[in-house]
Amino acid sequence: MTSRLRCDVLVAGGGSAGIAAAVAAARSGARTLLVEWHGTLGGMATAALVHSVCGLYLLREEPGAVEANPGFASEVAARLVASGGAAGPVRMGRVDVLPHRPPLFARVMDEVARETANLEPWLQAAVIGVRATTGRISTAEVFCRGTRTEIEPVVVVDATGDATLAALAGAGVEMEDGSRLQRPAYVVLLGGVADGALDGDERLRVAHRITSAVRAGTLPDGVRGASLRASHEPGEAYSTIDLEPPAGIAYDPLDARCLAALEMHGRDLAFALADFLRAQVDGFAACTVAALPARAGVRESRRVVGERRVETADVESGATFPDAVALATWPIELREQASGPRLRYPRDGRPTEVPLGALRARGLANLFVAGRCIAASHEAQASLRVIGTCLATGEAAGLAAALVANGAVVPDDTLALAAAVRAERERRAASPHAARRGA
Amino acid sequence: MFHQSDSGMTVEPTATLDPSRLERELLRLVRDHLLDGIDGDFDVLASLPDAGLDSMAIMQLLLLVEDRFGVWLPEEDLTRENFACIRSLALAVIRRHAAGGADLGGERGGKSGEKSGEKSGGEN
Repeated sequence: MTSRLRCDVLVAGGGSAGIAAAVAAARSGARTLLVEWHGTLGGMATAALVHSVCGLYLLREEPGAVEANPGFASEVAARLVASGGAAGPVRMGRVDVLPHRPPLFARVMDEVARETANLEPWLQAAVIGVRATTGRISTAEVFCRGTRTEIEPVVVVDATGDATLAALAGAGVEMEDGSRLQRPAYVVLLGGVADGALDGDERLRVAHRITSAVRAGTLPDGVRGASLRASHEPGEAYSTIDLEPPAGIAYDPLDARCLAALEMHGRDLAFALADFLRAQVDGFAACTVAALPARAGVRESRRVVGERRVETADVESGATFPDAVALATWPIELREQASGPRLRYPRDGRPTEVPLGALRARGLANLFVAGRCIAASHEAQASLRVIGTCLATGEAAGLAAALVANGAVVPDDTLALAAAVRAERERRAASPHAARRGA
Repeated sequence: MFHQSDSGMTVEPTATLDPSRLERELLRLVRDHLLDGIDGDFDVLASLPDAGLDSMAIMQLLLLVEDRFGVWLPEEDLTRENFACIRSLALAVIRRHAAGGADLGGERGGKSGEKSGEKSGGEN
């Protein structure tokens, strides 16, 4: 049986970009439906246990973190701190990041979703079909445990991370060859870690023990790039392992067989590492895998073909655009090999403007895109994909979607729409409390 | 002068190293594997964390150094002071070699160094 439902804005994907888009649209008065297939909102920050928000702050030499995108990104950061879900920004190398607690990230997302008028979140549901006619999406089919609902949205935001809606609608998408795609991260929570076991130089020493064991053949080679970081909770730490697919399997983040092999491989490595730490390393005698992620953290898959594409050189130089709607500040972080990241910083630490044209699927007037699947080169995406930037592109896409759904701006004028998005965001940043009430 | 490890990486015996050459090699490791775009006149006294190496990258650098030079740095050498800049790291490697801690470990290269081996092997 299929039921029908109308809404102004349909947002597919309830990760950082999707929740930002849905909240921004709903606060503009658009009746908004947010569809997420996990049981939690927050995407990678919750389901994949990615425990740091990157891209929230400008690149600065001086100490002190300065927010890059006042608006919803700042609101999330403030809410995380207020709820005890984060302590505040931390400088790591040249960048400032906000380490957070994934369970409290999920709670903050719940709180935001529930208090936002006009926003209806659906969990454990996914968009599985899209009908597009005459250059616009007319209906989308949502599936939840054997129940289908046909949605008739005025405007759609694809925040699926995989450009799923764009692909279903037949819009242009591109994807890097599997050999070069950024490797996914497998993050688990470790329990039973003694206080101070990862403090100061100990962290370097533990890493050295791990790699010495890899060289000696006592640990599998895939553990080589493992990174351990103390959590906020006593006795807990996060283990992050970038995954190469197991031997004989080409990496394809859209293939269920490959994903099955990858997820199981991630668990193999995480448990092997925990067993090793427990047996061999001071401070880990009681170490266990305390929590698994709902899924591996995929960094890159499809990217939409947009009106405009953010190129690698744009990020390297800190480009500006007439239709700018967000700032990206994270360096190009290449993880094409699982052995660890290679970073490329922009000249003079300049931020890159993200143009609205990169959030618009070419040829579909009522489809906006946000998050890690926006129109960008493979290397530019390695900067734009981070959670802080996803919050910012999500908010921009949601504002644009509401402006189009409300009939305030004609959809085909991207420049005018970008100007209206910027004006609306500035208005909200100036009086955040009124903005939260949807005033 | 150079020989290939099992992994295909060029391992350079530390006995042949002079400090300035070691520093250039370390810079090259940083540039090829960790920080794209730094250039040859990068200051060997400049702070590596300020240049963008976080603690994860410092760990990678440690492994790269061990693979590349066939030295094994014992735990007491694994301090942030030793990894503060290119010069401090070069000094730590040389000290370890002088103390007899260098292991001409031609058999213990690792996959993380394969790319470097391809590049530097040709140039050397």
